[in-house]
This record gives sequence, C-alpha cells and structure tokens, in this order.
Amino acid sequence: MADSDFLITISGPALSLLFYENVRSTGDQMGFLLGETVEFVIKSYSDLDNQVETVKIYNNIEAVVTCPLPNSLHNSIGKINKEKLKDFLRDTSKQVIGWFRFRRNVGLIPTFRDKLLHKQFASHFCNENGSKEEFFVTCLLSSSRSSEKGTYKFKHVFLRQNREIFEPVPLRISNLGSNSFAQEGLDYKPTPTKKSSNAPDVFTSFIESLNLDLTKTSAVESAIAIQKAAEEHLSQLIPDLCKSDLEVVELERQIKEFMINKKKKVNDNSKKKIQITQSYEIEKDEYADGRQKSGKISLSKSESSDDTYQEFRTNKDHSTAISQTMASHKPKNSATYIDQNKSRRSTTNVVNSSSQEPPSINSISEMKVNITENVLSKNRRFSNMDSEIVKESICKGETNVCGVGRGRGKSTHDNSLKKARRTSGPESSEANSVPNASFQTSYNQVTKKKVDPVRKSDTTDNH
Amino acid sequence: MLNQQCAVLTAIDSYIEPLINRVLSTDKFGVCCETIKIDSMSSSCGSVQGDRFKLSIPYARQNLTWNVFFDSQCPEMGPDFIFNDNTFLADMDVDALSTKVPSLAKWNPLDENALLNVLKELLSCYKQHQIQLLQKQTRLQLQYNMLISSAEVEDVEVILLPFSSKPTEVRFLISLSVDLSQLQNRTSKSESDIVMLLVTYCGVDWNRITPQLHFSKSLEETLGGTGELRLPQFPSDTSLVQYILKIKKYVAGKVNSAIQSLEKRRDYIAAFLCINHLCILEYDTINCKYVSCILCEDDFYVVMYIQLPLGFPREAPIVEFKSVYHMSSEHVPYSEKIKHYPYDFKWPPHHMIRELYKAMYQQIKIFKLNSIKNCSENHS
Repeated sequence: MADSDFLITISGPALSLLFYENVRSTGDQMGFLLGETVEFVIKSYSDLDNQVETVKIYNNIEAVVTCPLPNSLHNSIGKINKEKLKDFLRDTSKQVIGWFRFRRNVGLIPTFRDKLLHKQFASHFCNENGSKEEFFVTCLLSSSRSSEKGTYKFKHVFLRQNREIFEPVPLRISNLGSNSFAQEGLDYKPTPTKKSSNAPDVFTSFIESLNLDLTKTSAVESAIAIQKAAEEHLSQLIPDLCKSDLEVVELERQIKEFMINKKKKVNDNSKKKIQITQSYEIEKDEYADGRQKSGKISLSKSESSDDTYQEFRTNKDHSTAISQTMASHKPKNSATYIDQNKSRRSTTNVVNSSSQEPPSINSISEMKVNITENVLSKNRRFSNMDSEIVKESICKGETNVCGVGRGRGKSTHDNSLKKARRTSGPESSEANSVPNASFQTSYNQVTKKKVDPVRKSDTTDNH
Repeated sequence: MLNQQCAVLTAIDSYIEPLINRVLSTDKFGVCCETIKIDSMSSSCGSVQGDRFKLSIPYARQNLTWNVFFDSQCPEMGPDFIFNDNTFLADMDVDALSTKVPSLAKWNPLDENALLNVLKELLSCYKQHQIQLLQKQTRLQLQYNMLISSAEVEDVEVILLPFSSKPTEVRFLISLSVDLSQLQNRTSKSESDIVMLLVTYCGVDWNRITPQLHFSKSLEETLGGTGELRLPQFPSDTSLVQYILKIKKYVAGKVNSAIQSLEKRRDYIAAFLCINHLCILEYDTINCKYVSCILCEDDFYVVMYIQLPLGFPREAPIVEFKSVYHMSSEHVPYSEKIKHYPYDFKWPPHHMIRELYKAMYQQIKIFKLNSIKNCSENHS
C-alpha cells in the first residue's frame, strides 16, 4: 500500500474544536483523538480490462478528549499508567486513533517523551480496538502570536511511526463542497450511515423518536420541527448545566489554588513536605466528594445530550437535503449546522467518559470543566442556530462562512455581522483567554458565556 | 527549535532554579572540563519566568544542543527533551530506558541534583549510542576496542559527524592519564587538570587523521599553549594505541622540561634575591616567571624587569629597562629591551646574574641618553 493512501480526515469544526481546546489551556496540553479508521477498497478497470484494487485507509477524527493532568497518566520518563488510562478513557478508548500534544511557541518536533508515549499509546490502543499500530497517529500542535499580538498562528502536523522514523501524514480537512457522496470517510454524509462499530447510532434513534414522515412534509418544515424540539430540549437542560458548571469551576479553582499553595510551601520549606502531602490527600477526598455529586448531574446530562445530539443530526440531515435542492450557497449553511452537531458529539463523548468513571480524581476535575465549557458553548451555538434557521428560510442567497474558515478565524464577511461573530465564536473566547494566563480564566469564561446568549438573542432580534 | 518571535527571558521558574544552578556550576562533565551553557530561555505558558531552555553540553569538543522542556503548570513532572541528534533515542523501549535513566523515571523535583543526574545518564546513553554507530565502521571499531582494552586511557568520547546521515568524520576525544603530580606550585584548580587528545578521522577509508592535543586552562599556563606544539606524526598505518603511547611520552617530556625549567627559574630568582636583596621590587613566587629590581648609575634610577621564559635556561631571560622618569605615551613608562648581554645556559645562576649586572651598568648610560632624547623629542 502506498503511503499516500493513508490520510487523516477531520472536519473543520472538529479541527477548530481541537484548536479551541488548545488555546484554552494555559500551557502545554495533551489529549486523545477519537474517531475511526476506515478502509476503502476501490475497484477500477484499467485500459486492458484488468481489475485494479486500491486500498485507502482514512483515519477520521471525530472528537478530541483533553487530558488535564498528564502526570496522572504517565511518569516523567513517559511510561504510561495503563490502569489510569483505562479509567480515564473508559468506553472511548476503543475510539482512540491517535493522540495530540500542544505546546506554545515551539516547532513541531516530537520530543523524547512524545516518541516514547506514541509507541506505548499505539500498542495500548491498537490492542483495544484491533487496528494496526502503524496507523496510530501523533498530532503535534503549536500556536504562537506575533509580537504585536495581531497575528495568531496555528501549526499542526500529524505523524506516524514507520520503523524508527516519524513521518508526516497528510491531513484533509473535510468540506461539504464537492464529494459529499463519495463516501470516502468524510464527515458530511447525506443520510445517517452505519458506523463500523455496532454502537447504537443516537442520530438515527433521535429521528425515529420524532416520527417524521419525510415524504409528506417538506424538508423545511421537518427541519423546523426538529429544530424546535431540540430547542425545547436544550432549554430544559440549561439550569442543570449552569449549576454543574459553576460547581466545576469552583472545584477547579480550588484545585489550582491548592496546587499553587503546595508549590509555595514546597519552595519555602521542603521539610514540611510530609504534612503538605497529607493535607493534599484530605483535599483530594473533599474533592472526590464534590465530584461524585456533580457526577450524578453529568450522568443525566449525558443522556439528555444524546437526545440533543439526535435532534441536531436530524437537523443537519434536513438542512443538507435543503441545500442540495436549493440555492448553490446552501451547503455552506449546513456546514455550520454540522459544526454544532460535531462539537456536540464530542461533548457527548466527554460527558460520557467523565460521568462513568470514578477513580483518577485529578483528571475528572478538568473533565468537568470541559463539560462546562462545551455545554456552555452548546448553549451559545444553540441560540446561534436558532437565528440561523430563521435566516435560512428568509435569505437563501447569502454567503456564509464555511467550516474551514471557522477553524482559522478567517471570517471575512463584513456584511453579515452576526455570522462573523458566530463563526469567530471560539476564537474570540480564545483571544480573551490567552492574555488571562492565570486561573481566573475559567471565571472569565463563565461570565462571558453568560453574556453571550444575551448578545446572541440580540442579534436574533435584529432579524 | 524555539519560535523566533517568542520572547527570550532572563528569569527561570523558581522550582527549576536550584536544579539548573547545580548543572551550570558543575565543571567536570564528560571528558573535557567545560561547563554547560544555557540560553534561549522561554516560557510554556506566557509567564515571565521561563521553563524551557536550551543547554549546550560539551561532548567530544562538540556542543550538543539539547532543548529542555519543563512544565510550570505541572512542576512534579520531570523534564522533556529534544536532542539535536535525532537518531538518539529514536526508537527505545520505555522499560529499557527507565533502567538507563533512573533519575528521570523516578524524578524527584526536590533533589537539587536531579537534573544534573538525568543529564549525566543521558550523556552516557548518548555515548553508548555513538559507540553503537561506530560498529558499522569496522576499522575504527577495531581501533576503539583496542583503545578501550588498553590501560592507557581514562575515558574516551566518540562522535560520528554529521548526525542522521552517513558519517564523514569520526572524532575520538581521549582523556590521557599523565602523571602531573610532579608539577608543583599549582593552585587548587589543578584537580580538574586534564590532557586530552582529539583524533579526527576523515576521508576515504578513514585515512586522513588529524591529532590535536588540548590542555585544560590551568595546565596551559604551566605547560604553555597548545598552539605551538609540534605533535609527533600520526601515520595512518599505526594504531591509535601506539600513537597514544607516543603522545604520552611527548607530554611526559613536556611535563619534565616544565618541572626542570621551573626549578631552574626558582634557582635563578633565589640567586637574584641573594645578590640584590636590597633593590628587589617584586618577583613571581608561584611560577617564577619574572623578577624586577631597581638599578642606579650616577643618580639615574631605572627599573630592570627580567622575564624568565618557559624554556629557561635554554632560552635566555628577556631583560627590559623601564624608565622611572619618562613616559613614552600616557601611563606607559619609556622602556627598552636589552638584547645583547653575556649569557650561557650552562653557567650557574649567580654567575649569570653577575655577568648581567656587569653589562647593565653600561646599558644604563645608553638608556639614560635614549630616554632623555626620546622625551625631549616628544615634548618639542
């Protein structure tokens, strides 16, 4: 198999979610890439009537899971702790097709520890999901900004290990544009497709629950029906989410505060070390209690978010259908839907993994923060979508900024102010969170998000 | 490796500081006695205190540039590295590595020596890696094995250059065990004194061989610089071990002559003190390299400054008059070197000095005229 037949595919929204997670972190970050490895056998006939079979392998990245405290998963030399890794990833570990490492202001060169980790992760996860180790990928990411803080650069490279050498793997950012029917492992599928795993497709069940008769009702109507149902569902979730969000933020603040205190104490007096570790244990216990509480909440959340997920899948489906029959710019609109959809799917993953696992306390704390953020952004995007749909039905010809543009903050359409704001949603919060390097970030984000819906509802009114 | 736009910091995070201080203050690292240098400090999280830096580690008279990554967000975690030689530790088993680099596997951030130990362990891994690469060069491999099995050397560092492609140059940095205990009057630094032989093999079938001898700083002062050394030839058909024996003899000869010269100089200065003890200004008590005294002829005073070269007594002392009255330019007294005076290296010291004195009283008159003339010329 030629090397060029191995590709990484990722949707623009998934990539931008990855970047978003990166920029949210204060310093270095690591995490896992979830998705599936798909093999395509393409049969073609040559001029001599010989049948030629080419095999293409695509690693499709669907979601990311960030790992908040890497020191719980591996030691200083990079030996992974398989037990903790299992606890951390739980069910998602079968979906792990790679991992990523983010560092600011460095070149994209794997470090000594990255290489060791890659090897171990590859053998660990490929044992679990039965794929080949050579298709396990490491993604190195880096961001930097110009001295005037005017330009933000995001660099990334995907690497796989071929014998001793790490070689780059091409990345294709899936776009709805040309070959949505090509079935080459792209994210955008015209209809719900079966996943290679036998896990129940939440999307399908969601459509079923709505009992839509697609043949009788028009596509627009059914889209609106789905959208409304989703809206209702989400508004039910909001209070719960807010509550758990605040709790998570508080817990994270405590952890960080404690870490700083510990660091100070260690620096001040290494003799007191034993006492500190004792208090650390106590803190951990307290924290574990809090975690269990919020764990319950996130459990319910995970169920309900599955529903939302379904709603949005249907939604996506319909909008795609619309886009195919209607104006030529439409596909881009639906791309934004899928974005919401996608990010939600990854949210679901995160929620699931966190709600199910009790142990590794440290990691969970951060996990919940992820939930918070994602869920909040979900709210935000939800209200976006609301306005989006209204817009959809009214002005068909308007050009929207599409998925790829989102990831890179290239939203350049000044005429559609609302959209520019929406598309730059993740980026703007990134830009805010970068200067606030300290632990206040989480607070800022919370308050900001509380403001956001207001802002967005404003824009909706403007319509 | 670090981004150009990233600000270079001057402060380092407080928890790394003791670790790095220990590393930078270690002067014996590997064969050569050079210190590790740090630069390009930056921060991983936009803080003013850095947690990433670059270390230049001396190895086989090359600098290995290792990027070190700490994480201020996670101080319990040990350092991560990017090595400038990407063939190093490219494919290692983590368990095997844990036994080779135990200080990193069991990282203890409270131990001030932690980083130093990790670097030492990694450097020894690096040496093993280079020796493994040497296996492919059968001829040099043979030389190396012979070298290691002989008792002539203390330590050898091997490096194949350039990295990550077919090597065109192989360097051996050999620490020679030479008896330096006879060298007296040396300061406390002398413990780290070392004689190193750098042998560079290059060309087709490694036929071009360039030997270079290096002394540590303090040894250079006693034995003279290595620049003017005339090393014995290294024909490509002799083995490295044989050549090392030659070099050791050569260095031993050099040490012996240095010891003898020191004794002779000391005798000379002792005789000088005996004869002229009333007019001595100053003399070198440690290395016995110079003595100065004041002379008087017809109420004209002059400072006589005698420099004893390392090759004394075969090389004659350098005698210089310095005026106490006249300046040749601002802050520089008028001076003249006295080139011709009776001297024979076989004479005993006191005879040398007497002969010198006899000649000098003549020279003072000339010096007096010259200095007055020079001075009046300058003023006119």
